[in-house]
Amino acid sequence: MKHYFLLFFVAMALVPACKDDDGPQPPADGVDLTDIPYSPTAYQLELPPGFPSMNIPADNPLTEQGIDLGRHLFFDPILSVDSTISCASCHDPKFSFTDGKAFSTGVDGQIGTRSSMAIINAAFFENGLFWDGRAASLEDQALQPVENPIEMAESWDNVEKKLRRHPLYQKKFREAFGIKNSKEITRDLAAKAIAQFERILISANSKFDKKFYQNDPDPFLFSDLETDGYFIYFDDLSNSQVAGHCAHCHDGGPLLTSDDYFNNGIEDVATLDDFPDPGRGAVTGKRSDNGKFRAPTLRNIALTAPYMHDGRFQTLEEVVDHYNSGGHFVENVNAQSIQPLHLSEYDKQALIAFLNTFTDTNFVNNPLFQNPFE
Amino acid sequence: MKLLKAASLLFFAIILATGCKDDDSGPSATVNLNFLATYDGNPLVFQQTYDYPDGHKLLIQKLDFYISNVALIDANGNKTELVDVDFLDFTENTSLAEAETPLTITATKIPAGSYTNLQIGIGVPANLNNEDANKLPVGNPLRDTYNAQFWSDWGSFIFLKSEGIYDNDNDGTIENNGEDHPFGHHCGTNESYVLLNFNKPIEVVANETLDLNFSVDWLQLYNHDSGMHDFSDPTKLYTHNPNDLTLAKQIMANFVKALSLN
Repeated sequence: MKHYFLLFFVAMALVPACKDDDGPQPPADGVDLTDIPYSPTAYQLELPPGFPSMNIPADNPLTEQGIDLGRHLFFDPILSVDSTISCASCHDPKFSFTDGKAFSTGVDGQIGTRSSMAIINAAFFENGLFWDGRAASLEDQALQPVENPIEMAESWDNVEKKLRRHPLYQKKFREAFGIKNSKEITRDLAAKAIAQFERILISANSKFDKKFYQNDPDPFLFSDLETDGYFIYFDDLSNSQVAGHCAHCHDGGPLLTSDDYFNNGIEDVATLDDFPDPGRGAVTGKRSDNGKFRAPTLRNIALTAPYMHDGRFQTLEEVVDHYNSGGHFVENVNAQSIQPLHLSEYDKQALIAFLNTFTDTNFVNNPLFQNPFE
Repeated sequence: MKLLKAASLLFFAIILATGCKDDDSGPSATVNLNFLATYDGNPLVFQQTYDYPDGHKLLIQKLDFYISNVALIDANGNKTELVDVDFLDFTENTSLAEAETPLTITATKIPAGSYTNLQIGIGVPANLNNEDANKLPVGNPLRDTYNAQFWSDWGSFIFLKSEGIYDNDNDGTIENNGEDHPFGHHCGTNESYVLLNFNKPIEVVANETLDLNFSVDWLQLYNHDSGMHDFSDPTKLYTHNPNDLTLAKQIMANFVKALSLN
């Protein structure tokens, strides 16, 4: 009888806990983790030829353990309210860390308003992240999708609870950051770990890299078509009859982005107040920034369709046709690039052939970047 | 007594050390370099149209450039460096209030004294332009502007960017309809670098802040010796050809007219 009473008591105590948090609760004073060794190993970052130095926050140095934790968090749907959406849901390695959709899908099948950006060489972007640049750093960026009601629709308070009671994460947070108690698992540490993982997502092994940054001796590495595309891309009128005006926004050496925001003329609006999505303007509050979006890197561009912030173009051919048309004018349009280009069919093919030299399948297939739970 | 001697020695040592420190650095001041962009003498507001001297309208969208080797020079030819290299971007000035607010670069600990000349370079000096800016530390102006300002095909920073659209069909409306002329003068390479001198007495007073007020007039950048730039000529709208830098050098040379120290 005594035992039945005790069982009932324990059951009653557990029911509210399950209801609140979907799982067994750690002790109120947390789990002591000091038995788990803490011996972080500095990650040996090798910058590819031509790449800039990486701006790594002093309070978040790269470690093997931090990257490993970040990778687990990146691929774990535990961050979402119903455990259905992970970072990788919208940033899948096989799509070069985007999702192949015009608009990404969040919890409950909700559809977002912008296309997910490919996470490639993002550690080198220092002028804001997201299409509108609203995040100042990778750490800042990593915090946002969790509480976005369309994306993960979760609260960080709850994510912290879930991570604190999860033995795998108790161990990995301890190994990465030396916390002594599970209660010390925080959103800031989670964001730091995710940022560490994202910092190593470096692509630098395309045909373009071999030609221009790795001194590949093969004189036939680039076809004539690709070479002609290069001249068009960089407006080299010594060697081409036409200028593509691509590099104004997509140079930056091996990064293939100027790390800046532009109105690229895709929206037919009467005034700067009429953009359906104001983009950068909503962040800066400046009317003159309305309709501007980040110029994404063109690395692996062949793998990241559909294109533009709203995924309106399905193919690179459609993208090139848009730029060739001259797009739509409003006073902040990037007139350098948004003008009739007068590209012939051959020119367009050459340009696309050159864009295809940016493809880096080693990056996509890198085993270090894959889902650790599979 | 010994203790007193030791204390006295220590006291004098401190006095001497402090004195030496002062003597070494000398009395100094702060110098603000303030830059305004203008169009024909008035604040230049970007994304607005202006009347060009040939009667056509112009929409101006971008103006940025590097300054470098900025130094004060005294009567004996001794140089005091104010700025190694820095970047000025006026493009965000899309309201009158912004256009009337100067971009300021501050140089500190400038020795007080009488100077007779101010030197300023426009562009990136060859020794820095030929260096791999990506290896410079974060915070260095060349490192931080590399993505937007380095033109791979030239292997050079773009020293100056001036962009906009010229109302070529003269219908009073700026469009990108194939009739109007977008222009983009991106000037760079070592041979485009210009070094200017302002011969004027400049007094730097100890413990005070000196404001040196510069203005750069967009219209004067296009005031060639042969006359105002012809934006109707389709061959004069861009300066991207690595084998033909004539126009780029011409525009850079016009800084001698465009930049003034008030």
